[in-house]
Amino acid sequence: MELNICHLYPDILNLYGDRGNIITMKRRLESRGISVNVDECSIGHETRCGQVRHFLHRRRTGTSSRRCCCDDLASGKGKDICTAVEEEKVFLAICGGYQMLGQYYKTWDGVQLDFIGAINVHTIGAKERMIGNYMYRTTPESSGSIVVGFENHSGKPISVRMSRRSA
Amino acid sequence: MMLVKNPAGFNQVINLIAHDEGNYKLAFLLNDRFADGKDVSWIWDVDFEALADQQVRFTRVLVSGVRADDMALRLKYAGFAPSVSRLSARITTGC
Repeated sequence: MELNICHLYPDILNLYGDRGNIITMKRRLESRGISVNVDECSIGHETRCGQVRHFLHRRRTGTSSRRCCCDDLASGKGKDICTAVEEEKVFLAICGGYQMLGQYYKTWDGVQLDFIGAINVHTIGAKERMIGNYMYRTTPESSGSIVVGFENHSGKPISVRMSRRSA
Repeated sequence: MMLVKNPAGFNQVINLIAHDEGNYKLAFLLNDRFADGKDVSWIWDVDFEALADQQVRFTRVLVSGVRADDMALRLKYAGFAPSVSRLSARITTGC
């Protein structure tokens, strides 16, 4: 088996060791005998979604980085991503990457950034960042497994109605 | 002993070791207390892969500190081979 991963904005949105998600996913797939191709896709590059069969990957971002990406997304990449969502390709979307799949981000002082609207989520920025270790158990329908991690963000995504696949 | 606080500093140390021809015993000590920085995800931005490529020179590799398990996982995914006992005991005192 072979997986093609489109890794979006790896050079400008890697704020807190986010590339660890790619390193981990690649290693774990390879340890199971699955070959992995990672196509790094930044500003001005085509997504080549047609060649991506299984995964697209997004990552967490800062607010200023999100602004940098908005023009690039509006130039056609956002439409490609929406198409990939419609085609039920699998996404791993982290923090700002998840938020950018949604409708918009409104900062705590009222400035709104419009995103691609692939999923029915919008995000409201909090004045204080939420930082710290966390652990929780997923719902039974999501396997009920324990998730351990570290959060460092200010945006609070709000799901209006999850009508499309997301992760 | 070398103190590092961020990926840039860590990569400098790795560069130093990589350009030395000697054998080493390596101990990676990682904490997440206030002065250390509570978010340890920055270790994924460090180029440990450059060290893993030379692991034949490292007679032993140890991890320790409050976040020793995170450090061990990072080294494992960088390509260090736990099967040859390079990832070894956790030092629980003296740090």
